[in-house]
Amino acid sequence: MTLPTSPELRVQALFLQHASLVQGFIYGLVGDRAAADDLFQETFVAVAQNANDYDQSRDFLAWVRGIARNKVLEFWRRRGSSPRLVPEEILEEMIAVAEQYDLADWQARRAALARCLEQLAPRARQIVELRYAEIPVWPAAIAKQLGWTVNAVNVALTRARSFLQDCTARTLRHRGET
Amino acid sequence: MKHEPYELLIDSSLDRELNEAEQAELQEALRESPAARQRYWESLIQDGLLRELLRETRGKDLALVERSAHQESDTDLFAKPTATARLSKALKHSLVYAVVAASVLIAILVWSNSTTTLAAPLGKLQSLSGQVSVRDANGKLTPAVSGSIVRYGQAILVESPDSSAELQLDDGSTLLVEADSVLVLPANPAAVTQYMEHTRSGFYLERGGLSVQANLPSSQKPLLLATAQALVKVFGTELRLYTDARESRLELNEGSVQLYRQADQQEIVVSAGEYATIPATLVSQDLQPLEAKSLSLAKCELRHTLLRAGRAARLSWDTQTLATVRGRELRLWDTLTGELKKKLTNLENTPEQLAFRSDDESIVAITQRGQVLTWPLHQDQPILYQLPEDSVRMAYLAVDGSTVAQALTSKSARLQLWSLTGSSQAQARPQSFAGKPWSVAVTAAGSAQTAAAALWNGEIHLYAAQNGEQLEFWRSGTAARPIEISRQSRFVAAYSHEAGLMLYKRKPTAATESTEGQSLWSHLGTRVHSLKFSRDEKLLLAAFDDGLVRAWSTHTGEMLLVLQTGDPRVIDLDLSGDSKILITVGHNDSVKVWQCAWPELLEGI
Repeated sequence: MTLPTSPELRVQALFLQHASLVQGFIYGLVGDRAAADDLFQETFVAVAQNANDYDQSRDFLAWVRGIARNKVLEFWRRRGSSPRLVPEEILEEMIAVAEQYDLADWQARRAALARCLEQLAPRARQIVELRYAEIPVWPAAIAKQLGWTVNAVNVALTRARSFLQDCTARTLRHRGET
Repeated sequence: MKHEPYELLIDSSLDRELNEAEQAELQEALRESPAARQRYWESLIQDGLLRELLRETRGKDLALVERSAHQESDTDLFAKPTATARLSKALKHSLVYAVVAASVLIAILVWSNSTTTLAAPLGKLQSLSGQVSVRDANGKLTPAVSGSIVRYGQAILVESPDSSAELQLDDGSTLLVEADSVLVLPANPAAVTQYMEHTRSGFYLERGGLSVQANLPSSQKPLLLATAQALVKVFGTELRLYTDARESRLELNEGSVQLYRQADQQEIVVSAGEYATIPATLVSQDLQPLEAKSLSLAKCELRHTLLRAGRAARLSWDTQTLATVRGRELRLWDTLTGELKKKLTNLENTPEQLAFRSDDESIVAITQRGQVLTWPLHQDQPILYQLPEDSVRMAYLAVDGSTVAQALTSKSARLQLWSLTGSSQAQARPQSFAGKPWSVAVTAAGSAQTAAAALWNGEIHLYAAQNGEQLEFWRSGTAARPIEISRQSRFVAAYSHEAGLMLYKRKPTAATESTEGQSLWSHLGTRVHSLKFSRDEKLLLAAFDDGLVRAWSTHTGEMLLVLQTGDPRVIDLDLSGDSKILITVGHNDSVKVWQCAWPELLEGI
């Protein structure tokens, strides 16, 4: 795909390429889906408005994460003393860990995860598909649909995710070796 | 499988809000353990990837179910087996080994007796959705499998309206076979690039639609695409090819291709931003010169993208505000800057349609099941009420939020209109609308208000909303959905799977059967999700499930716009009163604001 030439459209296109990573980054710091959605959009607007400031020789994702980080801090200031999932004193450490994951890593994980998904058992796959559907079905509703207990659904989801995480790590290691 | 306690907490946080004690425990782990921090981000990354991947592969992938039944991970993922279960498992294994051994023996016998060999692999199928099959040279159909290899001489059948399949070739080129399409693969490697007279060459699109991203360097031989009427030589390019009994149509996004007409071998070059059609004709004298035309006379530029904004969007009458619905939230955005202005959260149900009242002071939203929400914008809370009818097939909210039209499924199936007279009540209109409606539409309130219903038997009826009098009807062949009426009721547009997109012009004389409609888009393979007339009735816009928005002149039927939105599917759209701002809604909840300029030819109409 070729990128548009106007700085604003170019930056917007780059942002969309990195959208899932940025969204995950914000959610990871905020721990609230609705708030993360709003901050994600605010970040996008700020990125588009500052498109001319983006220096193409710099790491795009680092630039966007910087903007997103400021949006998250603004959000916490607005929220005042309400409890946070990520305490302020470890925020920078958390960000440092998040910054290890770049677009190339994300794409490699994506390819590995796609293959690992095919190895899930049918029932586990069904539950994962429901949970991550376009309109997500949450564990209580999945339990109702399948006639299971909510706990059984939670256990199945945890096991499926854990299997996928291990499988992805194995696949990435194997690729690294070869 | 033993988990660290923080792993379970991280996992739980993906599905629900943690309670205070759990949150404190997780915070402690994140503070103390680098491994916990690593795990936390990896879980979030996986969460985002799962959402992305599973939305992409929507629909049923039969192969996964069949294949994974044999995966070891099956037992690993669920409860530990009991002694009985272990015994049963051992017996099952013995049985499976026996069956496998027998199958291998049979396979060897069949193979040794067979005179035919498997054709060479040509590419891999991926991103399957819906019903996809592979037909071999003997006509045998096999359900398609994501990731499976397809071979020379086979055909890919994408069968149901919501299906699609992507074929990836070794050089990285991809061919996306749309719904209701059949793509016959070349018989052998030479046929991929070499034209052979009187022999089927290249990838043959028997019917439907095909989008191609070809990565061939120009030094290589071109890829050949063919239909009954056309032959296309493709180098590195991006194109769409459609074919049906009437014509073949080629649209080019990038690069250029050589297009041959099979009937007389006339050849032209089609370049980026152009299209060409070849009608099906048996009489060579009828052939018009083959020519490439500009694909889109109108131009739309992207102004903003509102990510995760919603599945329906409407512009206010003054165009300054954009309202979107996402889950149980209504959001208001500044149309020009894309900034979030206000939102209404924790709604009881998810609204599916919305409209600004004509004074822009309030928003009306409805659910398919008849719940009406009125939100006066100066207030923080909406007013809710339920329409009495509960057997509703489809509901439609008028553009000014004044009226709801419902297609009812009860025994006395009919079209029911409700006037939303106040903020908290609705009044039923006279019920003289006959027939079983499949989809409905209604115009804004006023003395000339009309309602339209597409019936099960393929008829389309237009009524006067005041008294239910039938004004006009057309026959469209099959039940249409969606259906849309222009502001002054001069046009009705309807999409059905069989007839495609049709435009019906109203005759001045009422209550007689009208002339046939005009076909605007007949190609199978792409479905229309939403229709919208411009306020001046000069344009009809359609949102397609291949990510395109197309617009036609209602006066000439000419296609004026082909807009690639960048979303895989467009599910809703809206247009400002002056037709300059276009809103598109992608199935991934992204709402895009476009600035459009329409050709001058519209001015004089």
